[in-house]
Amino acid sequence: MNRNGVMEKEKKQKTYRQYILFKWSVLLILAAALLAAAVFAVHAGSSGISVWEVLKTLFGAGTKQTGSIVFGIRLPRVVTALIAGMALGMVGCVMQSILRNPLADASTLGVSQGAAFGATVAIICFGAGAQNTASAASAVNISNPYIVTLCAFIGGAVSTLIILGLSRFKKVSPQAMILAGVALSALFSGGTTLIQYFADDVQVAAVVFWTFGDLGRTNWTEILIIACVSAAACVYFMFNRWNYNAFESGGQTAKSLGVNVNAVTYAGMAICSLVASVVVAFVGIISFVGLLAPHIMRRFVGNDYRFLLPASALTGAVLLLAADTFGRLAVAPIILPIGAITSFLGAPMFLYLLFKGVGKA
Amino acid sequence: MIEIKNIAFGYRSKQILRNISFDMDEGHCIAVLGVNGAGKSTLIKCLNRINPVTAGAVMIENSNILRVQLNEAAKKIAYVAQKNEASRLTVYDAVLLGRKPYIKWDAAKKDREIVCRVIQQLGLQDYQMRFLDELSGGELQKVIVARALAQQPKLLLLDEPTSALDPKNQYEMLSLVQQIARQHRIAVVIVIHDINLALRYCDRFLFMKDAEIFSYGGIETMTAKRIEAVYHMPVAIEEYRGIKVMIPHPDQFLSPSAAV
Repeated sequence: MNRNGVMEKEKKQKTYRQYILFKWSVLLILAAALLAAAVFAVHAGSSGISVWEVLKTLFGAGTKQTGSIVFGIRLPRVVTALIAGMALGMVGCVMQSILRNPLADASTLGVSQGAAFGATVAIICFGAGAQNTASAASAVNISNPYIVTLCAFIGGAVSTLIILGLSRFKKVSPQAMILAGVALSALFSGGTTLIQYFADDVQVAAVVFWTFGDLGRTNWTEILIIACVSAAACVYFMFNRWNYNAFESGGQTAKSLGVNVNAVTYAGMAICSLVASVVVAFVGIISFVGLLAPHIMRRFVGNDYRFLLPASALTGAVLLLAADTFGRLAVAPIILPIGAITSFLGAPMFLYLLFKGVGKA
Repeated sequence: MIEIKNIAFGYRSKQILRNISFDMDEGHCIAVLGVNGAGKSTLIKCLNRINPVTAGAVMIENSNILRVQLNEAAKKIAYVAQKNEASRLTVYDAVLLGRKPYIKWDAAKKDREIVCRVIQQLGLQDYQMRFLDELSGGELQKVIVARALAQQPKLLLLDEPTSALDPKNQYEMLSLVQQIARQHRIAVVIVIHDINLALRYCDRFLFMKDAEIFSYGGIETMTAKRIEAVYHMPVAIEEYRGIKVMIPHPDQFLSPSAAV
């Protein structure tokens, strides 16, 4: 190769290096934005704690009063938003890859509604919720998180199996898959309504609040459960990031690249279903975060799952945290339901994708 | 030498492939010919384990590829599908995907070097940072072949690689494939409908008929009689500047109204 050729090659390689550096910088900016949003979310509220006091308290130099506000009230909420947002962003990203459907998300495929039905059954029928008459919002606390998680997973898994069956055996279009999700959502919402019909007033109030989505009810044990499940799923998904890249070329090509397509599909969907169910079991239905996050990030990092997965997780966390903070501050002291705010953000995006044409998304 | 032994495939009562056996030398291009539905695409999908065979073996370097792990098989056989999806991946990343069977956690220096070499060889340098969904059909097809080459296979399977290309790109593509096969000592199996392209660029010719091999051999087997027997169409084989060409005579079997 002549000198010009070598220089040209180096120039091209440098361009690719720059492109990869750009993707890393997107991740770094997202992480910085998330950190800033988290500190702001802990600071924002009626107690008037300054950002400096928040930081001092987080590093163990705060007063007893700021400590109880930060660690007892604000931090669990913020950490829940971070972890649930990351989990939902990741799940949406993986579902869109596996199902080759840009409209896929736990909420659009009925997985969240199935999980919500399962959790309602556990709380009201199996007595996994303990009565707490202090306030309507927290009228039922989850006393047995394991039963609730299990039931939510079973509910979510039923939806997942039906969607997978349609995808694998009937090869339905992305739009038809979403219609199946609508039918499943209606089915499970009907089931949840029936259970509410036979429950007492306090339980009904609690389940209604719970189906709106609420990040303020989780305790540290529940946060730990969501975090462990999400972290394990994150490791699994990251190990499979090259497989998801191969899926971009279609199932047959992925197989020819050495991907066990069936195993990756079934395991991926089962894990997505588990993660979405755990999130729904503890914070209620939060729609569209998993749809929005990957689509926003595709603009910046393309469909390269090495970067799209972590970027979607971080974006999911930023979105959920921002939505929750907005919900707390917009008409304070009333806290707007998080599920409604994410729906306001996500539904227009969903319509935009439909108008644009699913195949081009 | 690569040996295909007694491949059989079918759905329930319907037998799609029966007793398919042939061998091929490294560096040779083999054209798989036959009418629609003869089982040509099914055959290469069986060789590549996309379709599970009911019997048979694919022997490469003394190992039956149908019995090893998918990842190991992908190091020996690469496949270019008939329709390729243009996703939002850069050309470089798409070619890097060909190294997937070798990658444990992330691409090593060797993987990146191979990708650069293949990109250079196929002349993709100028658009290696473009996204696949911004490429023309011919450019995309080249990228897909580049990805297959990055797998460093012993056997390359191409399912109608020229079906979406204009005549110039068809000749360029097959010329490139022939050159690669010779240079890298790769056996290439090409499912193709254009007999003239096959005559020009392939070394061996496998005719399929009724789920079986009708004939297999070198250029001497490409006779008008044999082609007529497979396609039920009168043809003539002529020679132009040392290259055999097929000239169809459809007017001899079409009714006057259909010929209009």
